[in-house]
Amino acid sequence: MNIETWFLLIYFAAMAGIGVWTLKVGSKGSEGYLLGGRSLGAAVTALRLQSSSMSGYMFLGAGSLAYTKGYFSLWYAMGDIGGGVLNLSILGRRMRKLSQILGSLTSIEYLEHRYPSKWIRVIAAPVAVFCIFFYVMSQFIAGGRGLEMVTGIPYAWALLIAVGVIVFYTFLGGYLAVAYTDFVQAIIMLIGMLWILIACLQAVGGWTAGNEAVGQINPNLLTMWGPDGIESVQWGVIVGAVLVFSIGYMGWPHVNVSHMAMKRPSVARRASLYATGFNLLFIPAPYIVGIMALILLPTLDNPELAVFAVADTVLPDFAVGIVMAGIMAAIMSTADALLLQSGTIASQDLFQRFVKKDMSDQQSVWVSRFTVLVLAVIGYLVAVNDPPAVAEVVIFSTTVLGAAFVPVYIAAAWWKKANVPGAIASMILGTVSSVVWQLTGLVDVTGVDPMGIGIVCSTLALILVSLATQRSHPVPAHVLKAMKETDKIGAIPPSMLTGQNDSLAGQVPKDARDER
Amino acid sequence: MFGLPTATVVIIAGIPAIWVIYTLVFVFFSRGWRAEDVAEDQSLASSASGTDGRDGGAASAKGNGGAA
Repeated sequence: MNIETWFLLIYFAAMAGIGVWTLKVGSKGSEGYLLGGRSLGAAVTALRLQSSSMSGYMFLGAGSLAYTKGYFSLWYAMGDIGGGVLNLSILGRRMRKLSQILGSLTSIEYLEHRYPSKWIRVIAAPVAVFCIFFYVMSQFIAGGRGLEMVTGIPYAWALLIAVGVIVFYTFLGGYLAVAYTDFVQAIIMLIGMLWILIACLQAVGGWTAGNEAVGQINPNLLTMWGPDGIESVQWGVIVGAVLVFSIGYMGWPHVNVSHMAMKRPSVARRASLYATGFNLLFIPAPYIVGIMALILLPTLDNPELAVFAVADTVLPDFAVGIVMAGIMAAIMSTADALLLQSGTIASQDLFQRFVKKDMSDQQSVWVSRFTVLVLAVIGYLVAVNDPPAVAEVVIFSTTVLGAAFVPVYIAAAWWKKANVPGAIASMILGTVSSVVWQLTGLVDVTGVDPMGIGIVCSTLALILVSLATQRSHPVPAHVLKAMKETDKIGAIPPSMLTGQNDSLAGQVPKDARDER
Repeated sequence: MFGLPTATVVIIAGIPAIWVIYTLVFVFFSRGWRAEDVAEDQSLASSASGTDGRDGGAASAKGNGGAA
């Protein structure tokens, strides 16, 4: 066994160890398993938010885009750098406080509590699970490919090991395990990525020399307009690229749950500093490495392996092991968050809501764990038999999530006139428009990104339908009261702390729930 | 600069700079959020000591430093 494999084994054991360590808290009913007891501070919140939204895309998709499109690919990074602070500043404090007052345990349940109708959950849960399944599958593929390349283990076995480790610690510790492993993994992936970048720039003789060499291949690769020059630039695609990873984050249920798990609403403030700092250091690196790979590895068969291959070329053996652990960290930290979110949606948002309403907390945790296992098995089978390209799957699934959910999450916290019909219309139109735009090839015809069109459609639907139905479907008084309380800076008054789950303190009044 | 066209340098340095400024502005304007922690602590303390604690220290929106 080579030294790289040893490093990976140590890393896997450490992650599994965190899962076992958090088992005690994770088993304390739904609150402990799904939200880690709402106990997370600024650093864990910020790095968990960032690492769970970075994913294997940063090591496969970003490198591939940079290898094929040069500096044009950095448009994605430009949006991505601000994604964390946008999410925390717009949603963070308000979503934390409102979710506590409304007694919400999951980010989909939060939507139903804010827009009180079972149809919110009927629509939101399947859309979220569908997108999350494809997203998590792409992470499995990335993990399998990475392990295969470093260890030489056949892809099917490498995939099985990657999936096995992720499922193990998600299965055991729930949200707390996911949050703490994500925190550790964010640090590991930052160290790994910076190490590759520095070694890569040394290998090409510095950034300036590297850029000059890339310019010899094709000067357009150094511009922000793509390899074919400014004449062929698609401005709609550029706008979409910036949107996907900046405001797009605010529609991702597996990322938004971070707000609900914060120790206090004010945690969002300091977390924004950590998030921006991390993003500035981490995000541009894989793109620059991908561009420099054009010089170091000009005949690469599979551009998705650009970052892996550069690491293998420029780093000593022992460092490759550490860096690979960083790469696996990015992949696993997203996959675990996605798996847990799917399990949560299945147990809380579908099974408990529509099948067995009197389910105990322990039963709910086990339904969630069973779902994690089932999705992992299905994801493994699909990924091992016919693996699609990671970047395409990630961009497609995150685009649909963003288009479907960004306006409803923002309006839930900020706009008191946003009502049930508006939210339903927004989610449906956002999903349908972005999927149709993508699948019918309208992106190439119009040059407009599906994220852009999806967000415009879902936002307009929310505003217009909400305004048109204010009289027939007014926002309930208890929701308006909760939003008014969220406007204030201060502790939630005890008068609002009654309802369905005493351990969470703030709830929907029982009479209001009975009216639904 | 760095062997790159000026427009590329302006974009890849300028947009991150905007995000940094946005972060600092957000942190500055949300400085009043610390009051929420104090209010929450007081509320918890009053609950623990058996007093009613109703409206447990909920500060007004005016005290939020301009950002809520």
